[in-house]
Amino acid sequence: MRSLNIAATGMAAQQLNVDVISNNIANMTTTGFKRARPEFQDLLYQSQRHGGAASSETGTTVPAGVDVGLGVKTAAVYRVLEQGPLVGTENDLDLAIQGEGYFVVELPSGELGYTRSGNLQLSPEGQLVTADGYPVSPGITVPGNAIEVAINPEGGVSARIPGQVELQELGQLELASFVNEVGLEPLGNNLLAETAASGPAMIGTPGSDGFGTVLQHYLENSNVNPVAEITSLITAQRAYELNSRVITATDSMMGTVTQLRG
Amino acid sequence: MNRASGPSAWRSDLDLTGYLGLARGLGLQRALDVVAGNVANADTTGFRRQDLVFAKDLRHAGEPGQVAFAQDFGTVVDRKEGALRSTGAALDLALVGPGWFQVETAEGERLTRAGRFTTDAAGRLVAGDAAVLDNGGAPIILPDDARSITIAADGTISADEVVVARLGLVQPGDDAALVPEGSGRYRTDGPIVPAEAALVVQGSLEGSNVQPVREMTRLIEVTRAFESTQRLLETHHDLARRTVDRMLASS
Repeated sequence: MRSLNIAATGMAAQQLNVDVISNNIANMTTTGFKRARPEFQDLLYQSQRHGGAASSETGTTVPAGVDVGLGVKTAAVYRVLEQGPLVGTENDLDLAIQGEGYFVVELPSGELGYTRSGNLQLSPEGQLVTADGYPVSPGITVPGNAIEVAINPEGGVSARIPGQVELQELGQLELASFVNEVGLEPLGNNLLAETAASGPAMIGTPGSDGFGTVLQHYLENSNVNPVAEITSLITAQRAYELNSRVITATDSMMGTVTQLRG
Repeated sequence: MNRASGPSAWRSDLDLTGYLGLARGLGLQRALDVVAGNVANADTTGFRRQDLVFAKDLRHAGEPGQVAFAQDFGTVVDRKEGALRSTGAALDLALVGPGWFQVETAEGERLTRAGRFTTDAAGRLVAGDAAVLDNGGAPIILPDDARSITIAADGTISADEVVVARLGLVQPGDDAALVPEGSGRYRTDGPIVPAEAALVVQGSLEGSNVQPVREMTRLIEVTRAFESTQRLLETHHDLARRTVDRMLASS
């Protein structure tokens, strides 16, 4: 009875589905979070009766074989890249990307990380850093006496210094984009890393061709839709039940056999 | 089913019922396997549900001992379309209408409806470990400095508004059979013709075409049929035993 194992693979897949959904719900209010979705594939098939096999001595052949699948496997868990809703925060260093692109962050390892989460802060030295204290690349330092920091949609950072009429330009924010964004590897802490699947990062200024613009005083909220997640959760639970019903049915068929009186 | 048994075995009425029940029981077990496979893949991208087709296997046709076995004749792939769901990823492609993407695997060219594509290190458009083919049967290479990839409904791929390739959309000619190979891939031994009616939807994936209600009904059907087959066998055994008992009593 293959159906026992087949249904077990189905239950394992739905278990993973629920895991992913629960992580989405847990990150419902995480800045810049993109909801994930598991991707399933059918397992290989076993031929019980080969198509094209001879069915008699006179040369007739079986037109279609009996190919029984062995269940389901998880191919990937990928992120859904829809834009999250923007929420106003009144905070000078809160940035949201409207459109394509990622902020570039220098990780302690020296490598570059990428994030959609723009809740920036200042380090003790006045450098623009992420919530974890990793500097934004290219580095921008805000003078200690600055009253206000202004960031325009094209990523130009400037500051109002007491006694100066003109804003003082501090630097230019850059964004990274990828051919296949889904291929980025999540590192946790809202950070993503480049992989062979994502392709190399292409750096550009916000607002230029292929890049979104930067919005000051706003943050991009998570794109998790609670209603959609609950619906998926119900579907996953029902699918799990359905697989368990297959196991019950198999069990009852085996029971019928063992109770057979000869 | 015991195909090796000679005609004499078939014609002995006492054994025949046993063989009929056995053939039906084995077929129903495989039917349950097929249902289990469908249910397990209720959430698999581009999955096509399978049906097990039973046929009458007529032996000794026209002779006094004519008997029809229930034989699980073959599995067929249900080509009904699954529902589309939006993912927003540029390389997630769904097909609407009859047609398949063509991919090059180590075993040869295969068909798939699971359009979750990525690029590999060489810039080729791939589905897992298989390269996606264009309408000329060659792998598609995407320029690695492309900022945006647009794929039109007819499968034309443009990178930054420059046409790069056109996806090969095909279908098996003459309604040739599809043999599933796993990972959403199908093999066909018949001719392959271009699919004119298929439309590509960028940023979406096609779900599985499994309908839970239908599979549940089939599951109940199979279980009940199996029980009644076993009851038939039981009655048959009872009958045989009583015959023997009565023969012994009368002697």
